[in-house]
Amino acid sequence: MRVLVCTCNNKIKLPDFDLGPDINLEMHTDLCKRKAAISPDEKVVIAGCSPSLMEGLFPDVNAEFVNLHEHIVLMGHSMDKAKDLIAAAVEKMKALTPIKRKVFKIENKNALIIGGGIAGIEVASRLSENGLNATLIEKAPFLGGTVAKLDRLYPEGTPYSHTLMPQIGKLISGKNINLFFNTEVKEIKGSVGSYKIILQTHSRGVIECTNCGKCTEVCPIEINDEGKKRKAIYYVPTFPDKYAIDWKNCTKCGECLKVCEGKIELENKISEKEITAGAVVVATGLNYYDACNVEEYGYGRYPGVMTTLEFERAVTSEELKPEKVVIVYCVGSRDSKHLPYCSKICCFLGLKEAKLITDRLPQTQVYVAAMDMRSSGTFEYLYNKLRERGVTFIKGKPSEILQRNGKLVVRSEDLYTNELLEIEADAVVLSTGFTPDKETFEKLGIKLNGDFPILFENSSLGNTDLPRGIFTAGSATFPAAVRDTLIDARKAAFSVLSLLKQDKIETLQPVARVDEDLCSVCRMCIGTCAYNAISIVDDKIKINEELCMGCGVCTITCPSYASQLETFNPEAFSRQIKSLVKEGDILALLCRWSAYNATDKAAYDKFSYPENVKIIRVPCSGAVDPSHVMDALDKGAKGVLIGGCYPDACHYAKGNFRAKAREQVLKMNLESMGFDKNVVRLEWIGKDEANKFVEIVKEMNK
Amino acid sequence: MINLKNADPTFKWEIAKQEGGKQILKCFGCSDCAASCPVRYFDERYNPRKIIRLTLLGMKDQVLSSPFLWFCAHCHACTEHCPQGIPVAELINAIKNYAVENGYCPEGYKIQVELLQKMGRLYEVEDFDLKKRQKIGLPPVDKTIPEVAKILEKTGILNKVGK
Ligand code: SF4
Ligand code: SF4
Ligand code: SF4
Ligand code: SF4
Repeated sequence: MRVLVCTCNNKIKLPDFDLGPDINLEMHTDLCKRKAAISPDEKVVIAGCSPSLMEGLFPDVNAEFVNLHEHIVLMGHSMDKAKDLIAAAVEKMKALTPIKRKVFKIENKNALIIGGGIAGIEVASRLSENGLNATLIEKAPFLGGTVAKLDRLYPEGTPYSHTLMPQIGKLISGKNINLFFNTEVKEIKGSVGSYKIILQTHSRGVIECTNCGKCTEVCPIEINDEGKKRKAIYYVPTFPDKYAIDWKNCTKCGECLKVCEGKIELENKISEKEITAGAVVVATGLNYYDACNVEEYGYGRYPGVMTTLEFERAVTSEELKPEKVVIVYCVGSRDSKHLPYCSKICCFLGLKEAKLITDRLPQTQVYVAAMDMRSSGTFEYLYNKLRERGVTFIKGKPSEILQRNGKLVVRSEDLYTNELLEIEADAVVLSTGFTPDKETFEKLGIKLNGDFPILFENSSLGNTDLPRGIFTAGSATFPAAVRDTLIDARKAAFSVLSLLKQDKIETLQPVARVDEDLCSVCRMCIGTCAYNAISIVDDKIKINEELCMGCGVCTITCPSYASQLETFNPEAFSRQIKSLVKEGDILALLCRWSAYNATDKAAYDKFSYPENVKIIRVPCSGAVDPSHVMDALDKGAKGVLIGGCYPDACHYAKGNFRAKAREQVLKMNLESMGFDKNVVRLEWIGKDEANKFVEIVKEMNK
Repeated sequence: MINLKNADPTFKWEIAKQEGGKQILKCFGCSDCAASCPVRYFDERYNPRKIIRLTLLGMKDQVLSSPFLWFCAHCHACTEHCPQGIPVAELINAIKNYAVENGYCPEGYKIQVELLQKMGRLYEVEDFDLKKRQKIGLPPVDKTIPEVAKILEKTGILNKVGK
């Protein structure tokens, strides 16, 4: 093993020391300028500046970093301590499994895009423009998704067709695009670069079509399609230019067959097809929350109570001409009984509907009842304009909608005046919240955190270059406005392009590995992984390298230590601790994402802490095993500090909460063994909280 | 005017410690409780949201000495409605309990407790009532129920209301 020491232009003078046979000590003057050649297959110790810098210079190596500059030189600590840190790092590396290079072959240059709304369309045409193959599947018989159902797009109010139709034009004139309608994913297998997907398609019913429209004239089944009337055989003016049968409502009476100039088959045939893809884009859009669940608002019971979508469609098709309208906000959203989150776009939608009605029927009296108005960005202009137009905004969440003398009555308190208030109206519009398409994510094996897929909701994860082949676009993960959806779709297309233009991806990202001989398949680890990376395949625990983020949390959960993280296995870590800790030391095990950085900052800000404080960098506070604390105490440590990110700030979603849960058990055990429970402390230390770190270790050292 | 100089920042935490009071901090002031409260439709001076709000602001004396605090009928309509899942009626109760413990018990309540102690009931049973019962074939009832006084003593409520 090589130990590379940077002397920082001869400023660091390490005394001679022997690290044992087969360990070569190399002195460099400026590792930060002249990079030493290190092969990814060898194990090394690099001692120099802080790993926060060194890691960037040597990203693809199997190394333990020793922080000579910030922890020794700037602190004014002795070179003996430096020696101890290096020796301990060597001990760790000896027992470490090197990171195995993970190679994902990108065999397939086809991308599967799930969802034919504006997001999916945008992704598919961008990919085709750049020479890739795109397979776009849509579960409805027509393209356009939610946008095609709208009359206009906010905030400017242009018809949806201004946006959607040019997009569709580009899509259908694009090369190498396969479109499937009435189609959904049945099953997906494989990994990045080579997914195998089984698609399930329902037949369209209309086989040949001249677009004469006679079938709709004779069809006896009339349904209300989100505010607009249509028949069970119908047409949406997007694409394809062909009628379709709505199998849910068709009674197969055969009237259409009698007048059809083309060919209709009244049988809903289901066919399956297997396709391959190198990447998958989820563009499944949003689902309106079912307003029937909010019983006090009478949706589904009172005919005049409708959703924003139904209102928009009914008004623009001239089926509804209300004289007095109340638009109610936060229906289902921000409500612990329904959706605990803010659905983000429904405030805009409410403003949009108010604009729509005052544009068309200026004499209509419009009220908006909102507990809060979240008109972020330029939506404030729309909010201003509507007040100028005479729309009345009421602050307060309506408690109830009743029906009295044939009129709807909305009851609320108006918080501006502190008075109770009732508004009689002939239409009440519910600005409902939205939910993501959980089902698709579940099919793709992506874990949800409450309502949202965990992989896409955490901003720190977005920066991690994982070899993952599943992307999202638009509202699939969270409700987004049209403009934001398009931007997001371009971002997704770019990510797919950068992935698929390669022949293979190689990564040295450390992942957990399970030693089958040790594993008893107790399944404890499965639930602890925040990323759903652990599953059972053929009665064995298997870790998905694509999904594992390398937090190490599972390695601690495993009762038989069968799960080991590359670069950080419990045994190697234990050796490092035993080698480093001396009688009377304070051992600080600090999360690399937060607390560890505070120690660098302590050095820059000229704080000082005692020499007996020894710091080891860990991937996550949740990766510290109680046995490691015991190792340190056995060696005579005065105290052990575990430093992690603040609650909810964990880089790995919930690692610090695991640490917290363990701390309590550990403290109990310590007490039963006769230790003072305060020798161990778990502290949240932010990356800039140098002062906090120093205060804590000083306190522990007393 | 609410003068925050007179506010007691610990008040909300005190209420949060009471049985049923814990969730007060979740209130985001939507006023669904106030709009659904049937008492409010009879007397607008009663407003559960306002009580909660004043509590969060720390206006201890104003909340505890308000006669309106005692208007709640404990019907739980507000609890059903609150989008934050706050058991509003329990919360109002928690504030009432706290008021009593801190010497803010209204006279009417004291009188009720006294009546209970004396007769074991809130309404006196007179000979007229007994006659009426007899007429329609109902058995007579005791004019007083002494056990109630014992219960009251056990609960310690007499000390709490200052009787
Ligand atoms: S966007 Fe507005 S209406 Fe929608 S949940 Fe948020 S606050 Fe409520
Ligand atoms: S718990 Fe962490 S280390 Fe283990 S499999 Fe999941 S992401 Fe990987
Ligand atoms: S429980 Fe009290 S505050 Fe709640 S609605 Fe009923 S009377 Fe009003
Ligand atoms: S309903 Fe709940 S959140 Fe809304 S004001 Fe009342 S207590 Fe607060």
